[in-house]
Amino acid sequence: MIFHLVYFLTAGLAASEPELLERAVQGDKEAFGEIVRMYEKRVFRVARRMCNCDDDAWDITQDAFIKAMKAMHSFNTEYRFFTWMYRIVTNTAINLSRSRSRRAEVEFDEGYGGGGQTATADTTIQESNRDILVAAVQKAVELLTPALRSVFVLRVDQELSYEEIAETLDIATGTVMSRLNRARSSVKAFVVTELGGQP
Amino acid sequence: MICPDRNTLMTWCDKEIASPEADTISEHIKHCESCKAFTVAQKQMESVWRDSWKDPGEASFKKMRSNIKHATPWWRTQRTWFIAAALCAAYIGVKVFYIDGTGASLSSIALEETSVPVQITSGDLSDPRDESPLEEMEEAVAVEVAEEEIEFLQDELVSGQSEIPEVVEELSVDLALSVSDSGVSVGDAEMEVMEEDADLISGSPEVVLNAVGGHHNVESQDMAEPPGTVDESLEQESVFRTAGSISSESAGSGMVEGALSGGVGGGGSTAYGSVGMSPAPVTEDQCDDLVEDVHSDLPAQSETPMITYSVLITLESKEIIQIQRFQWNSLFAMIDALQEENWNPSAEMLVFTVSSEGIIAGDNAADGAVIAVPETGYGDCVVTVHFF
Repeated sequence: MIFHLVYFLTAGLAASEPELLERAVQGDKEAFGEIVRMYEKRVFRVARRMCNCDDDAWDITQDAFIKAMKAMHSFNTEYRFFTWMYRIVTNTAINLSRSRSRRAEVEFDEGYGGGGQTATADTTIQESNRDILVAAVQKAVELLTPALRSVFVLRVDQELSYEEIAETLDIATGTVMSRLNRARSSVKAFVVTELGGQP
Repeated sequence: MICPDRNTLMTWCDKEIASPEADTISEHIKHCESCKAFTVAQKQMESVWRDSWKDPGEASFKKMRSNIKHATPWWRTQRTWFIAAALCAAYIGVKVFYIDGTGASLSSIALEETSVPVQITSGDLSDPRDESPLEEMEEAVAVEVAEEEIEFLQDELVSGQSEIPEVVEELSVDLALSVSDSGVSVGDAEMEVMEEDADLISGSPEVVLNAVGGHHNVESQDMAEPPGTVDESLEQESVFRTAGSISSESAGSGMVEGALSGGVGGGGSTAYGSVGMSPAPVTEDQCDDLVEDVHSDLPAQSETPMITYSVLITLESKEIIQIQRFQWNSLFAMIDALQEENWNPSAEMLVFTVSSEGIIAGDNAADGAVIAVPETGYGDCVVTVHFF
């Protein structure tokens, strides 16, 4: 008897993600709360990487979860939730970025010193100070256009596969590859320049 | 081996290259310092940035969860109330807009856009309740037109004036009336006017009646004289039928233009006469009787069926935000635009696609016509409007 009670209690506490999703689709707010707990850190991280401000990142994260909650009844549980959630948060971040247009977004791939492909550039990066390197990469990412930035963040930071990125952003895999190459080339060229190297 | 390009190297770093080629690249990198330095630098740059992440404190997440928890659940969202409000507003709006039996608003639309002849004939009226909404609209227009025609005819016959009121100039109606010694009647005895009949009329006035309106049949009883009051052999009945458009260039400088034929009933003999040229073939009282009788045959306003559209809007979207940003006012813009387009009123369902370009009408409006623009550029939802 005690065994069964403990079993049911633990089973209720450790509900699987598909089960939580099914319940959330049916309107169970508690289940959706559990889903928020499961994904909040990853979603916030994507939001923060996509924008340049903690406050904006919190707003984006909260908006994304509220949108997900409101649209939860239409979510098809046969699909992956995290790609759906990532799509919402990246779209929200892109919309916020476009609506504010405070910063000049520069797509500086070809026109930025040949994309940092020289051996000198590689050496500069390898010998750089870690903190300086991080700051330079962060600045370069912020200067990317939203389309390139979202691909870069999802691949480099979230380590999603090309297929998952394509599904998340609803673009072709080839488009993912081309955008990722352009983003990497741009970031590297900017970083090398920031570090005083020769791209 | 030739060094692979940088994009291929990065794809290899991402482990997105299949095995045979990936093995070849791995073998190459072991022996190529340049490619090795490139991949190492790239991985270092990205890993340093990735590992620099620090999660914020739990308090911030707790606060965010609280905000989310108190957010409006989906079943209380704007979408639900938007649909309900749109349904109510559409229903009330259509009711108010079309409730007037005289169809003031509808007639103005019809005056501008339709030029279907209105024919006043004898015959049974079909049950208005069986008519489609458009037929009901047309009926209302026709009633109004018929009343104007009767007023015009009354003035014309009594005063003998040939001036055409401007309001009539904008009308286009086929009107069959019988004019006899004792009065004017609207009847079915001579609905078909032969060309030769018109030719036989010498000096007959030409009737101009311009018309507007939909297609409509109005029943009217013949203004037949009571039996015995008029000698049939002497009864001269002029029947004229107007057709065509008004022309101010008609002979007689403003005389009513058209074909006027007169037929003398009785014994099969036929005679022709003129009506408009007669100084006063009928008295004012007789015209009043005519008007009264015709009015009595027209459907009373209170009996005119109201147009009862019921509109059901269905919104489908991939993301709720797209629906939320869609303004319900666009519903009326759609309906207004439909009336300006080639609206097929018999359609029971109208489908629109909302895209960044606007609301694209379906098969029932002009192909590809953007008939309304949503408030935002969000698209990819389908608006389905059902008309009952």
